[in-house]
Amino acid sequence: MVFSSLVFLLFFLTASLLLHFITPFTFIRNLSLTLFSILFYAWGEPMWIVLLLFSSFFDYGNGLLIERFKGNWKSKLFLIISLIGNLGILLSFKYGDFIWENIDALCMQFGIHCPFPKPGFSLPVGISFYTFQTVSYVIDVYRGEVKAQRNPINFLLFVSLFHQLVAGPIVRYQTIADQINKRIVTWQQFSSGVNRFCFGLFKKVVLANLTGELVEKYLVDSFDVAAGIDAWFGIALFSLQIYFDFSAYSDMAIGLGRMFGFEYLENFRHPYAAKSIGEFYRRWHISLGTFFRDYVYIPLGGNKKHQDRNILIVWLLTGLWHGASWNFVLWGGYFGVLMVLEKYSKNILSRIPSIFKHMYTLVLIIFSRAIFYFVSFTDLFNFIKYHLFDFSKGSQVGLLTDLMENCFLLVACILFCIPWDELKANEGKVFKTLTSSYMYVAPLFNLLFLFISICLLVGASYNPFIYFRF
Amino acid sequence: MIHKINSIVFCLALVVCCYLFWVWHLEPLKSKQLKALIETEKRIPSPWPAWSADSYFRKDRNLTDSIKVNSYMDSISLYIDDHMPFRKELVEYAQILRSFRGIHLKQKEKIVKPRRKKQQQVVADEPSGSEIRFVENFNAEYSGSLLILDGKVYNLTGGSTSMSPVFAKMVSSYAQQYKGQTRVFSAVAPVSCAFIPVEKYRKYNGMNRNTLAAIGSNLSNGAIFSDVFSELNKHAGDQLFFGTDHHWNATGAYYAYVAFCKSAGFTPVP
Repeated sequence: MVFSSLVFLLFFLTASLLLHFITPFTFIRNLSLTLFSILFYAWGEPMWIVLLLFSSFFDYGNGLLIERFKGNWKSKLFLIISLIGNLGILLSFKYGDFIWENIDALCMQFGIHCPFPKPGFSLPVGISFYTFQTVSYVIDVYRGEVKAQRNPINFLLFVSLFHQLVAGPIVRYQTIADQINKRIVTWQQFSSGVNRFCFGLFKKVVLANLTGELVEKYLVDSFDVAAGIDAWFGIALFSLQIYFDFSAYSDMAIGLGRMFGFEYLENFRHPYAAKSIGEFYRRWHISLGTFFRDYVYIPLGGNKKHQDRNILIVWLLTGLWHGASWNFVLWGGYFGVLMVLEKYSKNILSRIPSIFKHMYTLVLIIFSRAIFYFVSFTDLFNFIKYHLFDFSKGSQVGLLTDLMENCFLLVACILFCIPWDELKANEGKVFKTLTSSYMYVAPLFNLLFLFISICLLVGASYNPFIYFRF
Repeated sequence: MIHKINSIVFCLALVVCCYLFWVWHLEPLKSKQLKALIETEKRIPSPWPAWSADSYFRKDRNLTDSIKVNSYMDSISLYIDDHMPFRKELVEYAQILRSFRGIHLKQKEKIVKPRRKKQQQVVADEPSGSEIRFVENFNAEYSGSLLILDGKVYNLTGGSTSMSPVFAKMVSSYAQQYKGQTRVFSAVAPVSCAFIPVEKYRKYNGMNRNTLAAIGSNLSNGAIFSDVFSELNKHAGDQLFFGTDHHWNATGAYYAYVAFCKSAGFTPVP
């Protein structure tokens, strides 16, 4: 199930809110929220709900054992068992086919087939998100940063919370540990959750989906005829689509969390305003970046030892996290190399005017979207070779007409990419005044966003969600 | 206070939407909407799916290009979508909202007006000697301009010979523009009603033939006419079109390919 669907908006959300608030005790609230979360997951993934339950109880047990044997070698043993189990699940279900295909291709060089059968598992929805959550939990328990959860229902709730289960943000146990055990929802918190959810819904259904329709036109339907200008426009649109799609889901997750009394950390902070690649990834999918920083980069030595190697490892892993395909590895490698190059050219970059730094970042980020978009290397190389740098002719697919016919949509997209609260010109004062007065018109805007979204969802055939496949 | 109002308004909106959906299931509101859906979208609304372990555990998959099998949960989503209260109005509002995306330019396509002079009919809609196998017993009903005959849908039109020269002129202008660079073909398809297996509708066969033949006779500048109609007409007894879709099927496309090969000087692959 996705948030931007009629089933969710009309029935699931209404029923889950109703049941949550008519029950007086936290334990019963947690139980009802857990059951709703399982239903939410089972709606789109009826088969692999078993895997989610197994993963939860496996790490629930490991967490308790790690804490029980704290200071003892057994504690490390259970941590290793947990890591092997979690990464084993991820490798089998997400990367099984990919590994098999590569081994088979290697075997074919020697005229033989891969000796073991292809796993052929369908990718369980959200496996990358919940596996990383449970991994972070056992590591934090081992490090003594959090206490192990003793109630299995509460632990299952942490893993399966439907707000962030299938598409993040990756919520660490320490962020919501206290809220799981006891939470009070204030009117202000609920109201701010409603505002965030409705805004996210609007961003997804209006900005992401309508931009996505144009992306289809430029990168799929007109792929064979696109000139350079069309190709750049297509991937620039895809950059907008993926941002609004994913950040909207995070907005909705954070909003839903607040409605139910949970405070999740921000996952996006206007990434397209960044002036360097490093800054971009401190603003984009923050929960994934901090996961890799805390559990991979720093343990590898961080800035102190083999920094270049550490950066490359982290980025190759980040690429692989996004999907079992070589294009994602290439994508990760591309950013790894850029990060290292940026590190060595810090002095030069600091002397460049801001506007050029913005442009440099945007061009490199937009180009990277082509690597991200085309899963097939053949398509990617054809796109770069025959389309991206073909400036010998003008638009072949009516770019000017599309710009005019979508001008308000594109202007809205650009406006929503600007970090108004960070602008130096007014130190965010105008923005703060606007946001504080927004609460008085918020009920009307929320109803409007809800109405527009329902209108566009009824009878809609195009409602993808890009980060669902990760 | 304002936070309280905001929260309550949102929750009320959700409850009202949910309540409306259930109320909508009461006759006659629902049946009126469903009738409108059948009329406007020419399809039967998705029914509430029957549960089975297979339907529950399978994921959506395409059996063929035209048949998609939905999982149980997705079928429920489709049911809710089709039975949404005020669905027709909401879809209309969506169209209006979508138009706010930008400024809509006037179409710049070259409009060629048909000549006032009445075009000479090649043959007055007389049916050609086709291979249609007519049936005596059939079930026929009309839905707007559509004829539903034994479960197959036909759009009853034969085109107009007055528009054929207009189209031919456009194609000929491209042939002139690309002279020496490439060959320009015209391979216009007849519509499925040209091959309705009922005597009563035989006139559409002749109308389609005349419209398309008039294109051929008006082409100039070396534009080549592919006589798709004649080739399909030879096999009119076969299933050349989909039942509820106006497109030709693989068989129909193959005979059109044969016609194209003949006009292009290729030997068609059998």
